[in-house]
Amino acid sequence: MDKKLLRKLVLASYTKGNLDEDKVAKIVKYLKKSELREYIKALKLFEMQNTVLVSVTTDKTKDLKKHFEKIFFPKKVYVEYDKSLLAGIKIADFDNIYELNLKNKLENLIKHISE
Amino acid sequence: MKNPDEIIKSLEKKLESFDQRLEVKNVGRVVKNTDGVIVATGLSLAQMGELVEFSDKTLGTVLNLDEDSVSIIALEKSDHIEEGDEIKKTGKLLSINVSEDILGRVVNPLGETKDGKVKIKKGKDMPLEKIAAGVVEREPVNTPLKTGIKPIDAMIPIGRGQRELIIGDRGTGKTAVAIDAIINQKGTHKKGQKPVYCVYVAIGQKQSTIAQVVEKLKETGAIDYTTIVVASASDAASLLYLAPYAGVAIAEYFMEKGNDVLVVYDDLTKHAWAYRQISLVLRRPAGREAYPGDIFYLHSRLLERAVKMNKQNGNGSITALPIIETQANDLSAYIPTNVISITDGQIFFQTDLFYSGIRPAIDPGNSVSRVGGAAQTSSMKSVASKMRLEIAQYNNLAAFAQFGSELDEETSKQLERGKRTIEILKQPQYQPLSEGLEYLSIYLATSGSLDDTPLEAILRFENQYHEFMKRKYQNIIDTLDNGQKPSEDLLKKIDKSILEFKKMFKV
Repeated sequence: MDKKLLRKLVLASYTKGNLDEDKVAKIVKYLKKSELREYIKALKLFEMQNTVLVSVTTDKTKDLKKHFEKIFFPKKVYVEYDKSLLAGIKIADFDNIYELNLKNKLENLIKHISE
Repeated sequence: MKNPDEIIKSLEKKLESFDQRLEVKNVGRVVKNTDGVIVATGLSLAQMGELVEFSDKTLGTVLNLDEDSVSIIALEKSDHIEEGDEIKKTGKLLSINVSEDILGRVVNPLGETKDGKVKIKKGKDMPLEKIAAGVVEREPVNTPLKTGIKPIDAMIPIGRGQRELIIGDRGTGKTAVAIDAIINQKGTHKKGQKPVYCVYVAIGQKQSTIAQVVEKLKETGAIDYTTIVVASASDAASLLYLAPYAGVAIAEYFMEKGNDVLVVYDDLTKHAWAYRQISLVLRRPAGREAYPGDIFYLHSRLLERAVKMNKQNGNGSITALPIIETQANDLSAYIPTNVISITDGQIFFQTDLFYSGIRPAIDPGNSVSRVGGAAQTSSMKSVASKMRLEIAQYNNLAAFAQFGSELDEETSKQLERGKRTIEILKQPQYQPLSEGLEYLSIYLATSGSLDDTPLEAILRFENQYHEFMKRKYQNIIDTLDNGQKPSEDLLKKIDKSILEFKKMFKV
């Protein structure tokens, strides 16, 4: 299937930024088995590219979510509480990870010592 | 053992930079793992050939950059890598850490030791992929690299900085000649001589064969100036693919310091097979014999790194002896023709010659050195210049003699001389000769001194003559070792020594 057409189908599967199951069901009816595989793969990739996961060491996640939604608009933002970071924050925006936490600093120090 | 104060200083320096800077990493996730090739999403900032690290510290290198995915070959066993595993960019291209301590060691293409000894001292990171030196930085090949093997030094001379292909069927003595060339470099590690360091790259060989090579180099003392890079038959195809580049990277470390280096690639046929395997798994389009389209570039960019640098650029050199295995002596196959067109000559090993007792089984008719006389000393040139022609003439006459026709005296004489020349060029394995002894052997044949010696006694005559000369006329050998054309006076002394020895020799 043509990449442009695939992209159009993926964009057409969404309503107001959320995956619309009815639209997906309609699209799927017209696809062959191999095209369906490509479509599902493209949907998964689109979801990954448009999702931001923010890990923080505080459980006050609601305010933080609004704040990051403004920064990463129009992507979907999920904020989770992760105490293993010790202190700081970790933002995963598809293949870019922004680290500003104690856990990461300590891991870097350990790596430096072992080298 | 590092000084504790040094360790503390390094830690303090690291802790000083323990600040509030945001760290940005570019990562990917494994989508598919097939036969050592991993397809991942993400890694949008990855470079071609960049080193990446999996979550369990396994290393890989990026070989394909597609629109939505990246293909990576694992450099170690990758069966445990699962879908969803995280992959990190390292920001580094493939390199091998080289220091003086790498001499005498057996390593893999990543620089990890394989001989069970201590870790190699940290040195310089040499990139595996590098653009070869340009035309301006080079100078013509003008210094001989003596292999110690009579037919090669006489008829197919190799110079420092040359690429000479060793090609032939399996079991014809190709590796033996390469090992003898390495052993003969021991003579260059003396005062007053420019030493030649050696790198032996074993690609796809059996581990038992590699162990034998290591043992022989240790026995002869050649291991002290040799590094062995191993990617055995049981290693991943990615390591077989990288092994020759690791070998030349090690050679470049020594070359940049102004040294001469000899690199043996044993063998590039298996290297091509490994690259074909990787390319097919990466779904790259297959061409002739299922090799990928850039199979020529695979070898050309490797062999172009063999170089003779000019004085302004350090005066170092890398001489390459790539080995190619043919099937049924077919020189016109794909990979052999590719590598023949890249190299500065070839030494062709014939199966028929091998089984008829001519060892090394070199076919002088099909072998050539495009550097030629420029890579030969004056003394060798003076004695061996007509040898190739004489052997070719003998081969033509020998065909007629088979018909049993009566031959005139001149033709018979030529035939007998040809037989003796071919006989004198035979040489046992692991016994490379110094230039002086090579000169004497070839002089025996070309001067006609062996015309009255039976064919079966030629090699025994040669051996005993060498012993005689070492005992009584070592000064003649030392003079010949200098490489200068012998004076009339010296030639007379040599003739006298031959006559003297003949009186003692028992047929």
